[in-house]
Amino acid sequence: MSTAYQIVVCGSIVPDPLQTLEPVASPTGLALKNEMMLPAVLDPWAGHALYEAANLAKNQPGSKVWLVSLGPKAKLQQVMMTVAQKVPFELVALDGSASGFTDATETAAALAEAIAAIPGLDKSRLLVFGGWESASRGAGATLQMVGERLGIVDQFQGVDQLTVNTDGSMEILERIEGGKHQVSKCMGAPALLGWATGNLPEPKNNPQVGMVNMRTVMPALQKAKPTKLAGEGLSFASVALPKQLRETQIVKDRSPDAIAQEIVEWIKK
Amino acid sequence: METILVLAHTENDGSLAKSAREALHSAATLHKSLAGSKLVFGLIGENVQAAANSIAASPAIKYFGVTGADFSQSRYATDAAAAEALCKAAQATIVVAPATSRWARVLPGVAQRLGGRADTHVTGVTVADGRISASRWYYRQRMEGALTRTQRP
Repeated sequence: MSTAYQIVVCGSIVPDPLQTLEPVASPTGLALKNEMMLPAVLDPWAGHALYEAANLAKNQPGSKVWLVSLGPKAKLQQVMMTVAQKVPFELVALDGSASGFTDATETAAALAEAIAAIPGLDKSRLLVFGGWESASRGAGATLQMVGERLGIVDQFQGVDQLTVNTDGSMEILERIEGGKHQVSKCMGAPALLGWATGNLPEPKNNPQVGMVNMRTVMPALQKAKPTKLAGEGLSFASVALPKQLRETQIVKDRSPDAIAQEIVEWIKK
Repeated sequence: METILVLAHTENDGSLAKSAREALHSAATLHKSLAGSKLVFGLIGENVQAAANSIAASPAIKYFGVTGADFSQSRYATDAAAAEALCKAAQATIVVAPATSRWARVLPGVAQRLGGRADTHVTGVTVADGRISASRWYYRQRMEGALTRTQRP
């Protein structure tokens, strides 16, 4: 028996990791220097979640994948040029900040509202996927709040593997301490999974998939709902890059005992 | 006046992990810095008595527990219900917990239920002029920020 899942993936954009990032104050709060000029990519763990969603949809006939993404419309469009060629999905875009300094609770509220508004949403078949934390805020908190707002109490984080059994139940592997996985069994949807890397490689670009996706991506971007994240009650006293510190010494002819003693004194500081 | 609740779960053998004791130490330091604050402890597990006994000398003035076979395993639904009950029973305004996989899975959802906020991967907490400031890293540990919140818990 296969279930036709409705798989909603939450994922936003983050700056390309090779870029130099510098925090600056802006009229709307903390931001990155030249943030709108920085090349962006889909958040890596959200990307894994998207590929796992597409793989699950392929193996469960009748299933469909949505990508719900909150970010500046112009940046989303740039990122979709690549992402849309990877796997089939329907985009639900929200036009707002993707900054790591925004509040996870407000982001979750916007995402949950967008998910609940998807036409024909059937919570009995709903799976919410996403990265277990982002490369921006890195809180690992947003998905749980989305799940709570949608009334989903079967939640898993740090997921590396999802196996759907013939009776519709799911076996889920979550990362835990000590490099181990916890194996859980969930009777079925609705469920929420925050993915780690999973086991799938990044799909190759497929122009045919891209063309089909762009038929919904472009209209979705045009009607993207403006979303303001006010950051109520949240304030930053400081945000700074770590100081570079180098205390290398080059010494000759020092005995091992003397070196060991110096290391011990340094550790004790 | 803040009520600081330290949340911990027991290990398979009923003991408290080192990370839980570190969280307790951090909360105790915060309690000393916040004039008029109260420190309480909340435990979840199949049997929490031994764990509570092991920290009986802590400055916590009350100990709360949720026990039973359902709470021996790490599971979102039961852990969230237990944590929510502990937060409400303690009337916590600040909740401190170690960043174990079990708490990382559930505490943001609990914050949502209580109308509060959750900050994770916190590396330090300081108090200045009665305001609590938490430090955490952003953008994959490429920059460090210190933030304060008005919401409770």
